[in-house]
Formats: sequence, C-alpha cells, structure tokens
Amino acid sequence: MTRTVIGALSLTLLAVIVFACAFPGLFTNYEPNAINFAEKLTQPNQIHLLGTDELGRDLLTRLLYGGRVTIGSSLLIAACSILISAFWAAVSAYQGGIWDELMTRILDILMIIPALLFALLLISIFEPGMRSLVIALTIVRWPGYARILRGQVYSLLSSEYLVAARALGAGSVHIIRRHIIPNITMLIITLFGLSFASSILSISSLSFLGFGVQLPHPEWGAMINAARPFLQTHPFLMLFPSLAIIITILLANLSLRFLEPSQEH
Amino acid sequence: MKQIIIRKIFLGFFYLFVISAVAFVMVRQMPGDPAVLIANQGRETEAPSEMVEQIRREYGFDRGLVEQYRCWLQRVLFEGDLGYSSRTKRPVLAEIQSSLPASLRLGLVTFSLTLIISFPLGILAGVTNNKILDLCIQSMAWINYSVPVFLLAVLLIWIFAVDLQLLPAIGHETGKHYVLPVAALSVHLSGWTTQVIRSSIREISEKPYIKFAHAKGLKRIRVILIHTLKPALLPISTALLIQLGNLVSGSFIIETIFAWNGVGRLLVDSIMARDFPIIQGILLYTGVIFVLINILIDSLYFFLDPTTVERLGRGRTS
Repeated sequence: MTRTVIGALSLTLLAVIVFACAFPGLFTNYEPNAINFAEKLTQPNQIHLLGTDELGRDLLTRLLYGGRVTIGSSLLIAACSILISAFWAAVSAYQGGIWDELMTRILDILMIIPALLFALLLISIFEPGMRSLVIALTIVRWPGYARILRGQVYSLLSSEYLVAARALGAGSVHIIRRHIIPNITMLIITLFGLSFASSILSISSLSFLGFGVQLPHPEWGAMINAARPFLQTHPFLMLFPSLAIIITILLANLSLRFLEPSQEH
Repeated sequence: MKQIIIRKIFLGFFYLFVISAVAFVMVRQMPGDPAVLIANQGRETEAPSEMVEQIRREYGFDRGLVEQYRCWLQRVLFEGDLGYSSRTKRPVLAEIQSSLPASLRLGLVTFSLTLIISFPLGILAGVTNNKILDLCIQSMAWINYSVPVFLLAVLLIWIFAVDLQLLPAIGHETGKHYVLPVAALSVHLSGWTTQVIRSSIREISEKPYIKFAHAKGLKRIRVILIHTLKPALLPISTALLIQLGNLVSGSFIIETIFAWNGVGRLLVDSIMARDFPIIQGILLYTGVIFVLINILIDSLYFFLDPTTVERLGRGRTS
C-alpha cells in the first residue's frame, strides 16, 4: 500500500518536472541566455524566483531550459537504446543457432569496454556536443539491455506453453503479438526507466567535465561546473541544479521500484 | 568443467583481439593529424612540412590502416611492446604502470568500503519483517544512488577542504588524500549495491525452504548466513564484480576532479592530446580486466551453482 502511494506520487511529480521542462515558456518570461549585468548574482527574490547567475541570467529559466536538454536527451537515449536492443534481442532469440551465438558474442565484446570510457572515446571521435553525447550513450547502453531482453525472450520461447502453442499450429506473428510482447512489456518499461535515470547521471557527469553541451547553452551538469567559483559566496547557484538532478533521478527510480508489480506483499 | 573454463579463456583472447582491432580503427577516426600534433610538440612555431612527413613515415602513419594494425599487433604479441607515447615519448607500458597503482588503490579501497556499508544494510533490509526499516534502507539507498559522484565530490571538497580545511582536496600521497574521493565514490556505489543485495536476499528469503528452516527451529543467524546468503551470493557477486571492473579501469570523473594521477585521468589527457598509443594501451588494459572478471564470474558459477555445468554442457545458456 505504502509502496503504491510513494510510487504514484513520484511518478506524478516526475511528470510535472518533465512538463515544466518541455514547455519552459509557460513558466518564465526570460531568455535562458539573455545577459543582464545590472542584475548579476542576485539572491532568490520575487522577480527572479531562484536568483540570477554571474552574468545576470535568470536561474529558474536556465534550469528549465537546461532540463529540456538533459531530460529530452535522456528520453531519446532511453528510447533509442531500448528500440535497438529489443530488435536485436528478438532477431537473436528467434533465429537461434549460429546467428544467436554470433549476435550474443558481439554483445559480450561491446560490454567488455567500460561504458563511460567508451562514451568518452566516441564523443572525441565526433565533435563534442549534445548530438555526439546522445549517439555515444546510446551505443554504449544498448548491449546491456539487449542481453537482458534476449534472455527473457529466449526463456519465453522455450517455455512449455509456447511449445504447446506452436504444436497447436500458432504462427510466428501470433506468438510474438499474443505471447512475447505482453510478457516483456513490463521488462521494457523497467529498462526504459533505468536507462532514463542512468542517462541523466551520465549526461550531467560528462557535461560537468565539458564533454557535453557547449557554452553558453544551459545544461544541469554544466551549470554545476559553472557555479563552482561561486560556491562560497552564492551557494544557491549550485544548489538548484544539483537538486534538479538528484530529485529527477530519485523520482524516476522510486516510481520504477515502487510501481513494479512485485511478489513481495 | 575444466574444458569450459579453457574455452572461456580462449574466447577471452579472441575478445581482446577484436577489441584491440576496434580500438585501433576508432582511435584513428579521431579528428586531427597525429603527425602534425607530434611535430608541433614543444615548438613555438608551426613545424615545417618536411618534418611532418618524416614523422609520418617514422611512425608509419602513411601506411594503410590494416598494415599499421598488423605492425602494432606483431610488436605487442612478440615483443610485448605497446609503443611509445607521442606526448611524453615514454613507453606506453611505463606510462600505464606508473598510473595504475593509484587507480588500483582507489578502486580497491572504495570497493571494500562499499562492501562494508552495503552488505549489512542490504541483508538487514532483505530479511527484516519490519516494513518501515526495509523502506528506510531502500529509500536511503536510492537517495545515495541518485546523487551524482561529481556533485558529491564538489560538495565534499567545499565542506572539508575549503571551509573546514580538514582534508586535502588534491593529490594522493597520504592516507588523508583518500578520504574525500573514496567517500564520494562509495556513497554513490553503495546505494546501488545495497539495492542489489537487498533484492537478491529478499527473493531467497521468501522461498519455502527458508520458512521450513525457521520452522524446524534453526537459529535465525544460521538461516540468514548459510541458507539465505549462500545462494544469494551468486547474483550479488556478478553485479559486484562488474562494478569492481569499472572501478579499477579508472573512475575518470573522480580522478579528474581530485587531480588523481590514475588510468582514467591518463586516458582523458591522452584523448585530449590525441596520444594514440596510450589510448590503445589503456583500452587493451581495460579489456584484459573485464575478460578476467568475466572468467572469474563464470568460475564462480561453477563453484556456487553446479547446475550451470549441466546447462553449459548442453551448449546453450539462456
């Protein structure tokens, strides 16, 4: 009972954050990159709800537009990596035999290189920027999900009721539509959520080190890095983007964990 | 069983071969002409084109990709020579060896601390009947996991190095230098491992044979440690060993923030400087680490779960 309440609450709050970041214009009248030296480093007040940064840019505005970049690309990475991995897993498990063996080996090889190092290398091959970050993180993430999904599809295919269904003459399309897809939907949703949360972590970490969004565009990790010199005098500059990252990841994880239909009672 | 392990080792070598080839091709796709970069090193003015050409021939950059890879592989296999760093002119092996201990020590200390934190908490949350306690531990674990490592690092530096001036923020000479980076890494990591341990333990402790063990009057501690923990150890150690691999291949975020001269930072610096031999060397090193860890995980399965042998014997694992 408590679990469901926490989960539903987290999911609602997460939806509010995503909505606010998707339509920042509804919540703020400022431009994210508009410089205004007259109002630099103001404390949070009624005009600037979260204050302004060292160039007089409204922090709330930058937070919302930055969230659009962080959350938007995390969703994109999650969607792309799940799509690729589901396709790979389906072909691999369905074909079986030598194809399955080969495709699984390719996954093994891709997974041997540590994810973030691999992403870093890929980013430096393309030019640094958000597009390369999204491509790199998608390439890095999908093999792990493909492996989990393949395992699931494979064990479904060898389960007794599917053997029976096939013996009764059910075709591939029917089996995939009626038996495979409904059975892996929950797993795909879980993986999507996990991927979303870990992508936010990776994007903000890499942007913090300067490998993601390029200045002056806002992004949560990059904003934290920019706020470092002002930590002592204006801690709110770092506090708000940090809270944004932590709360978003936490909400994603909590709604995932607590809404998952579980065997625990 | 021996046969299967030997097969895994051969497979590991094959993986390393593929990884090194992929790494070679990838590294060569980076923008920037390595010959020009090497020639311009330490010079005030642009290097003359004859010099660039000479370096290109000397380093073999003018030959085809396959030919270059063949030469590199030949030297690695027969002479154990990974080449020379184009930035410092020192052998790649020496460069990696000098940054390896820092990464290994940081990784192992963090890993041990993570285990010390997450095992008691994870087991407690997994076996307890108190729902509030379980919920508290789980929430704490998720909060820990949701705080990015770099953020924690910056906050810890601010509090303990700048504000209170208790601990050093940069370098890795004394034990005191370990406190902040290890704390930043293990808080984040223990959030994840506590969750893994909790759910594995919880799954086992709901099984009928555990209820039976309790019912026949065994001591609770014995049921937890022997009947529950032992079978749960398999999924737990798989998850933990992969984290260990990530740690010892250099947590480059922490190493960059704390100016810690480890493998991760060496890689970041080398990527910035287009130091191809070093990048390839490090990728090979991380490849070796992960192949070893995979073999370790497979061997663990044989020791902890005898049914694996039977399943593998039939040729396929699911």
